[in-house]
Amino acid sequence: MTSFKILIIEDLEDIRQLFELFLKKKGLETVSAANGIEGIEAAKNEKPDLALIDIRLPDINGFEVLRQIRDFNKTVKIFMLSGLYTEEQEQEALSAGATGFINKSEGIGAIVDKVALVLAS
Amino acid sequence: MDSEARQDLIRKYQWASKIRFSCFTLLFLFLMLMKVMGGYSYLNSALVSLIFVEAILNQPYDFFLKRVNIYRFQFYQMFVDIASISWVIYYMGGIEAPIVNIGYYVVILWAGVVSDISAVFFAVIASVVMYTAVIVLGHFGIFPHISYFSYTMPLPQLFSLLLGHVAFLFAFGYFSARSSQLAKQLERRKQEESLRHTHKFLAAGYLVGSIAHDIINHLVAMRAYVEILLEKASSGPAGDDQRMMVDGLKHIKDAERNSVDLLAKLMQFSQKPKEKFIEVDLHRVIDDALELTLPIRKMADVETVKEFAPQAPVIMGDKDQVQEVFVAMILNAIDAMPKKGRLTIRTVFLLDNELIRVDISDTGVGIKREQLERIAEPFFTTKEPGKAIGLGLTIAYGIIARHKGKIEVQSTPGAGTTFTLLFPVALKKI
Repeated sequence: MTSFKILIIEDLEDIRQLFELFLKKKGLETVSAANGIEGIEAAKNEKPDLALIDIRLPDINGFEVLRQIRDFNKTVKIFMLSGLYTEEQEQEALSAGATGFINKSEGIGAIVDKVALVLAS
Repeated sequence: MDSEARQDLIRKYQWASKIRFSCFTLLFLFLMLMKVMGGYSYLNSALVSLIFVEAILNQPYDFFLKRVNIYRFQFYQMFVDIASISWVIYYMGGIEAPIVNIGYYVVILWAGVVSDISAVFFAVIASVVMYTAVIVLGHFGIFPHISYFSYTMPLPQLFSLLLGHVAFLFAFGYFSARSSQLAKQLERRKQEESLRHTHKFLAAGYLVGSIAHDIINHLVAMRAYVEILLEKASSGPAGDDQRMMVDGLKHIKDAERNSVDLLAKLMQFSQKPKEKFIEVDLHRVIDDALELTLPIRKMADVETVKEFAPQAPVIMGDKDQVQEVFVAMILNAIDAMPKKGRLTIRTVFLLDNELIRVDISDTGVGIKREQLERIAEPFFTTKEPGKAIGLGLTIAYGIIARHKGKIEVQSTPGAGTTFTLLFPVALKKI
């Protein structure tokens, strides 16, 4: 699965590194960003196949990052990440153009499995 | 002036209208008696003016009250009241008139209670000017002189009496204005306290949400590290140590999962819950809450007294959330009565304010004065450590605030506590 590139936009270093570790173990290439602005730049320059965006970011809201990425890239698969699932957040994510909404408390391993499955399909 | 304040003022003025009607009726009867017993023909005009004021001004009052600028209207109203009182005083002999000038004090007091300092000032000045005019103009014959004793008061006596009345009107005006200020300060302080409670609740929700979110992130990272270690330990050389390590890591993983679930529940507290507002019969909700708490009440040997208003309209609310509030209140009351006690739940329909009041009283240990201000704070509890986490009332305050209601509390240490819940009624009646 080496041909896929995953963009991780997450402010917490631990979580970011763990995503990288787990994704790399699945043979996926990763690009990381610690805030929204860096994330949008990375999405422009690196042209990822899939992006994982945390809703709570230090500079701009994750939903805003999603909208801005969608402005220039309609095909990239984007999953929004949150510490707590709410129907409202999921609705907002989907209406802003997200592919899906993932609850972080499912665990990084489980999330990465899901991502691999999506890419494989 | 917002519509709630306007409605409140209209209600007060409707009461004033009733008081005015009663005063005029009493005065009318008094004058009739004087006329019949004493045969004073002058009183005809006083009687006519009373009938005029009552019929022309007081009766269509309600109609006007709802259609005018209420603040400006109160000045016209005071002017008419004071003119009517002066008119009656004039026909009752001016300075000789008994008791009637109490009417001025009633108007001044009313201005202080209902309105503001400028209304009091206006009432005092209007009373002084009109009273002086009636006395002086009557005395010097500019108005026909009316006396019931065929007696003309010497000028120095007249002026000293007049001065006394005027000075007293000013003094009374001053005290009325001060009382008005004080009452408004107290009202403002009450509103501020209520706002502070709401603010504390919102701040607590935000704080809990942020902290729980951050902890979940750390736990998620922890689980990932545990998964890595677990993978390594599972693939290592088999043996007791390896088994122990795998078991230990699995336990950490389970504990982490449980902690995340617990935190997710706590985070729900900071989210705006999905509310389903429907017509709710409070009596039924209270009955359900009592039913739910029946075993605990029995165990605690608590006598329960229910005093429901004969007819209470429904409210618009989320039935489950309102029930949660009543259950929390009942459980608090039970906890406050460790050695038997009486729990009283009383409902009153406040027709004038379109509110339903629910009093939940216990005969328990009460809450200390310094603790009363803090009861809505999250994680504050008056109960023994380990018996409560101190979120029950915080959540109750939030639910009631979302129902546009209010919680008030009164407590006497050693005698008991009463929580008063106020709910606005829905328009449709049951």
